[in-house]
Amino acid sequence: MSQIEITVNGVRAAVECPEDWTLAEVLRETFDRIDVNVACGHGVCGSCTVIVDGKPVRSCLELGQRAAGRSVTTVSGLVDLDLETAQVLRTCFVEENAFQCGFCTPGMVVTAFCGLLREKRRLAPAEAREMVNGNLCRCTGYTAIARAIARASDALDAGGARDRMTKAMEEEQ
Amino acid sequence: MLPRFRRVVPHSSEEALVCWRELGGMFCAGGQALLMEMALGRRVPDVLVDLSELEPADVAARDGLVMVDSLSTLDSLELRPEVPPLLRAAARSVGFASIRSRATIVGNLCHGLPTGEMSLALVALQGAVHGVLPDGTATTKTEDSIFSLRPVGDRSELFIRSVSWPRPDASTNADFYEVGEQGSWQPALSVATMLTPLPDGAATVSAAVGLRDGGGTAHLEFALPADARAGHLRELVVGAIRVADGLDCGRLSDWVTDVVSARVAETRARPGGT
Repeated sequence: MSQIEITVNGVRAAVECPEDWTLAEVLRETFDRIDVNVACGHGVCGSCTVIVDGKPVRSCLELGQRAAGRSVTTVSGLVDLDLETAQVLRTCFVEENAFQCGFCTPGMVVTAFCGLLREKRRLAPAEAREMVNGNLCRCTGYTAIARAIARASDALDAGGARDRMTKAMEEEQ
Repeated sequence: MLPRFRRVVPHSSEEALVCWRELGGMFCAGGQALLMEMALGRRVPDVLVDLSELEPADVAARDGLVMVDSLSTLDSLELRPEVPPLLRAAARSVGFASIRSRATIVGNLCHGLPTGEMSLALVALQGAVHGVLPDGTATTKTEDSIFSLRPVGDRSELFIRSVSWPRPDASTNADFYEVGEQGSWQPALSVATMLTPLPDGAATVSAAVGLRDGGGTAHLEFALPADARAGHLRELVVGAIRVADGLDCGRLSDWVTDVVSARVAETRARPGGT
């Protein structure tokens, strides 16, 4: 057991972290981040995806102690990285009804957030589907999810939010 | 949930070597494969020598060779102009963005799969893997031995430090292609192709092919005449597979030949240097 300092959604804290804990365990057990969902627990489903220092990471495949000194953002913290982008994604997911049980949604949204930043352009639904092809939806609601992400890419492209998002992510790094 | 282990964090390569020699255990670079195997109970190392604090060295190019630190993450290869298109394409084929952000060259090599992306790309590039044995002896792996880097049991057998390859011609075309299979994270067939154009319109082909489930690997090398049509190309591929003698395609023989021929044709059709 050793103590690590970690920033989660902008809040810095020193916490005890056993050597064999994953980042997902730290976030859920110590920080009570119930917006980090763990399904498979071995890196296949993508539901536990978070952002660590600006990069998407599967928190079940990251040692908790490796997060020492780093900045972690969960789906709830996306609004602090870029309010407009987070809101656009949320709105599109709601309006396209892009969830059924909702378990995969945090991982999908975090992955899409990072993907939109990377691509910086309008996406066709097939490209949007490709963007989250490492995230599994056990309700198989992929069509609506891809539509929501493609629609968000349209809205962000039109609204000029992408530049602000890029700047926010660079600051985060 | 991971099994219990002791984590040691060296801050230099020398320190890592000492930790490994004295404590044993396994190296953990990006951890994307190792931690998955540990979560599934397939590996239970007592000690993890965590290499995450070691900063990867810069890409070095000298004497016609390019050398990259094996701890480089796969997404970082995308940003390095010195890294040839084949290695970048192979890196892009690995997993997903959230895996590539942590996964490293060495981790991919240590899968030891015949369809392994980095392994096949390095073979097609006629590259090499450089490492250190526990007694400090430097060793280099090339060709077939690149596919035998998977550690047996719960102890790493080699401290892999870097990979290198001869600097390819600027006009070389490359392609990395995987055939997936539903329900499996491992590709069923992977093909790395590299074509170096010759002045007369012909080209030299260097391709590495890997087939899962005992299918093996082969490094195919042949000259492709300027006027080679599809039938001729297929014959050349069949001949090269026979000479390489590493693939056991069985009933898949025609299919493998078709896929490899199609990838060579596709690579050839691209504009130079892509």
